[in-house]
Amino acid sequence: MTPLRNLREVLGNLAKEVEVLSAVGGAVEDLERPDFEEREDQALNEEERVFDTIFEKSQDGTRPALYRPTLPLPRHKRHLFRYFLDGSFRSFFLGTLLEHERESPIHFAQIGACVLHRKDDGSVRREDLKIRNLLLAGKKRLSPELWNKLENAARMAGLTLVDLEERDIVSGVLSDFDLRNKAAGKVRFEMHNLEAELIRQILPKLQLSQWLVVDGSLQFQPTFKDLEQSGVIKPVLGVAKNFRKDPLFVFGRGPGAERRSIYKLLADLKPYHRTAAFSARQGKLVFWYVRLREQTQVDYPLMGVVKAELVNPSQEAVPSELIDLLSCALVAERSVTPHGQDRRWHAHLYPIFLAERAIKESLVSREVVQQFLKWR
Amino acid sequence: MPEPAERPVIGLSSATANQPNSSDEFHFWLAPEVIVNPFDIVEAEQVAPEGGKSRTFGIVTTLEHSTDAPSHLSNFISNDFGQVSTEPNTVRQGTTVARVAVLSNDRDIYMPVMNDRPVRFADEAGIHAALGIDQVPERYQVPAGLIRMSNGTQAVVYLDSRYILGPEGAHVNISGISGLATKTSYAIFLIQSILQKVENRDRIGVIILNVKHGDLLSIDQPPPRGLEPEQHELWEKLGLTPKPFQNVRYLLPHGKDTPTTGRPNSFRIPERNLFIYAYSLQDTYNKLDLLLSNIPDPWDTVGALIGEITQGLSDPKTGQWGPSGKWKGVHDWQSLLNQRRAFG
Repeated sequence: MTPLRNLREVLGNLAKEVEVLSAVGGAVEDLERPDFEEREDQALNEEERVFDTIFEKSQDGTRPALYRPTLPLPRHKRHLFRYFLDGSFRSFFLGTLLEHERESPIHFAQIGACVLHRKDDGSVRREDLKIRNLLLAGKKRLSPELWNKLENAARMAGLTLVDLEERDIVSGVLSDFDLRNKAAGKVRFEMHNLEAELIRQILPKLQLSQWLVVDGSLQFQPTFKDLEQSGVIKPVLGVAKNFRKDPLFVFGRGPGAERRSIYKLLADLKPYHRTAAFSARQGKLVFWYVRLREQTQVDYPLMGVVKAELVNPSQEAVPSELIDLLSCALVAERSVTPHGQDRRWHAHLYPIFLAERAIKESLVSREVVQQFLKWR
Repeated sequence: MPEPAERPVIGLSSATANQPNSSDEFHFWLAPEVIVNPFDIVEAEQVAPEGGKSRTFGIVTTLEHSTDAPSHLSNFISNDFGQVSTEPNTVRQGTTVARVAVLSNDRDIYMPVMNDRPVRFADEAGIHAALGIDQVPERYQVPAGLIRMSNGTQAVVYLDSRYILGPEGAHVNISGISGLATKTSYAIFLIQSILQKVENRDRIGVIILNVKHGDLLSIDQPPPRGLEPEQHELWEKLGLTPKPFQNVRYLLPHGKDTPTTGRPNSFRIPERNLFIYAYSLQDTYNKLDLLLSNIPDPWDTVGALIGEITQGLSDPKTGQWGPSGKWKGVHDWQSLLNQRRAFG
């Protein structure tokens, strides 16, 4: 409650300085776009759409096949994935500040990142949870004096003031037309920063026998940079349940080269199989797809498929055995599912779902925010 | 006894939007590995005036295990669409929640137990406080049984003899499933406890009306195979001696074959202290209405006959037994029946 109390005080003082057009009911929740992960994936790989390099090598030197079987590797045989990280947020539009001819929307958001640790018996406990409270507005839309006052007030109240207009890779996918439109993207970007902090903190606990699974892409900075250091693959795997649908995969060279869209590539991917690992970012990143479930169990052929990412600092072909191992462990994560609780259940790893829930349970409810932050 | 804060916490109280805690009931989730059974008595931390603490005692009525699966279908799907041999990598989130009926509070505070309050098994003193036994003076305490809880805590439960034998009351109600040999056994045990513990017990007489075949016709005998050591231990914990009843008299009814066989109308015949009883006409001439009370008599016809017989067999001066007039020859049931025939 303290953050809300402090925020109310900040807003109260603000209302004395400028005119405010308050949101309906005091605060309106910014709803998240369902395809945001896909758009993020596009934005992160904007300059790279065609992938023609299979970037893995077998120990026996054979040419890697396009599809490889990856039978599930359950926990009791080898418990590889021990830590699971996810981020979540809630964002509210509070109103529009009117300063003479200037105006700016003002938003309040709570972002969170959580790491769960899975014990030997399969039960999970919270390893770490961070929550941060944000106040967002357009810096250039307001006078420097007002912005400074807002900054000071936010700092005293334990809030982080964020400039809605500052460009970043996430909010950049959204139109500039309406600054309010950008808020959700900006909040997501800050959430990724918080996730990066947590990844940095958990890295020393990881080993090649104890991996961290991160929900989403590893390409966000500073995560990507952190994982690039030291020149060896760190035990961190990015798993995305939603990914861009526009890449093109090319096999072979010259006029005989085969081109496959992602739809074609995944339509031929059998259950408990993975695709070959492709190179991105000049080999600094390898990614591949794994089908977790039978196609008959889901409605649409692209359901039940996850995209896995590994940061590859050496920029050399990754051992196929490692990709196999990670994929087999991923397939084993298909049970338990959050079926009935999340429409993305088919590709949602249960411990990641639990991490998201742990965050959501720690955030203030929308009812409380809406009642507490009525402009008075 | 360790202070409450030193005893392990077995869970935290839980109130939700759909299942709030009330003054009659509260819920708590069990910490992993904790075992609780229905009828365990627990205590929850409760508020008290001026920021103090009190304890609310309750008895566990139900235990429910719930998970985050919204339907059974989700569980089916989570096990690879019906594979019975799947071992999930992550255990589905679930918890066992106990529902507790409030018994009492040690400071008479009946506010609902708040959320996230520590819950512990009650110790012996707590069990006594919960059941009000600590209010019964020792001289009136009758051992009525032993509570044994899931954590091994045991506590003797006492009844107040003033409510069993008077003057405050004189009634014990024992209920249970029929056929399990528990209600009668308990009644016999309680009688034994009373006869061993209450004041002035040599002034107590016990009358048992036997409807149990031959079960109660050997209460003055030790069990043929003796008592098991565990049973002995239970009696000793109650401060009682397991022994047969003394000064027992068995009154068995006279049957139609008794004149010829000499045996009472009973499937089993006790070895000793046996008496055969019957209701003679002289004993019952003025209670015939009770003997024939099960006969429907809408026009009071039987009532009139009974009145005639009673009057005939009573001494007109004293009202005691004294057949006179045409009833002079009636002295037993047979002659009464003959008299009936004589009257036609």
